[in-house]
Amino acid sequence: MKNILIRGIIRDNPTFRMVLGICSTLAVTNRVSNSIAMSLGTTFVLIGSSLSVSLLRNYIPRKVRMAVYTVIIATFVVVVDIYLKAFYPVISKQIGPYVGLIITNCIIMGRAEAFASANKPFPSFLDALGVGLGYSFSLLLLSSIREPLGFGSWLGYVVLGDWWEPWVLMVMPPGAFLVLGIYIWILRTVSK
Amino acid sequence: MREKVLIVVVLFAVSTVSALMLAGVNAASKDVIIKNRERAFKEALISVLEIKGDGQTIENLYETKIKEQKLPAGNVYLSVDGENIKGAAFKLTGPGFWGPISVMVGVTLPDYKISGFEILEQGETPGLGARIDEVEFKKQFLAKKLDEVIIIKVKGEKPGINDVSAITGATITSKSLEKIINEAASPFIESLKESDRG
Repeated sequence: MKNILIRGIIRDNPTFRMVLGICSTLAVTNRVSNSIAMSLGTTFVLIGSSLSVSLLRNYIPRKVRMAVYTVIIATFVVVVDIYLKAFYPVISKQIGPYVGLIITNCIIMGRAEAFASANKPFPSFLDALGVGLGYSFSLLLLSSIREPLGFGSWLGYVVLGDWWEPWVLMVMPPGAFLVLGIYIWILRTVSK
Repeated sequence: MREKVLIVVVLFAVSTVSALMLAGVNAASKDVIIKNRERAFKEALISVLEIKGDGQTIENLYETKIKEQKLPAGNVYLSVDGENIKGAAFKLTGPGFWGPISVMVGVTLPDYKISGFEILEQGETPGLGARIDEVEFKKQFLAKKLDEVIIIKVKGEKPGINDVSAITGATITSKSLEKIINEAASPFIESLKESDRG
């Protein structure tokens, strides 16, 4: 049981090992605050959809399973979107368009198809939580490099002084490719 | 045959449950969301018209210091102090890079210099276009003349007196905003000048 939770964080890390959900990863990791909001939203949707898929796994006809998963995932995403609009209008204003894109994050569909559809609710919950933490961990690592280099700050606090000339490449998706590539390289070398 | 019926039944059931859930969440939060939006609108008005609060609530300030006026171009919010009209504010909307951008602009009268500039709604790229909502960018517009052309200059070009500098890496957002500020504002300026003469 413990293994299910932990393997999503390092060994089967969705971003660094499975290389899934890259679109949102590249887009939001230029700021730590955006990454945190995205991580929380995605982890919530992962847990909600994995639990629902697991509970319904014996009733979903194989031919339409993808359609059913999509409806379930989209429902949770819209809930997150409405919740942010109502209670965190500032964050909603900042990352609004990306919340809708959680639906297309293939990590979520991937967990539903690869794990939740064949396992009981509790293991599915642990798996979703582990993968969610792994995704959050990756976003935090990436944004902790990109925000200081691109803006000179970390979570909005200035960490590099006036002498630092912001590196625009780091703010844009190509900078994320670069940092992500280096992380994948390090992780592969270390885990050999 | 049995399988086909099952497919329809399951899909229908899942969609129905989903729709009911969303309808419930929407009904529960609709009022809060509308209130948030109204509050943000009034806050933006008070900020761009430079109305000083002295600890008064937003609602109170809005009731006492702002007068709404319907002009052919749309709603204009006048900052009033007794009989004097000190400034005007209005909402400008236009397409951005990803979705519509709405801004609130306040000008002092009768010189049409920008007294405040706030973003009401935008869906631009976080970290790039979305930076039009940062203070450093917005404050560039202060004291620029809205009844003349304001150009948002891309990096490298030297901004003139009535120009502001674009956000690096967000040329399309900057140019869209430039279009909104100049084109959407001109009917408001014309109506205001006309009602001033008349």
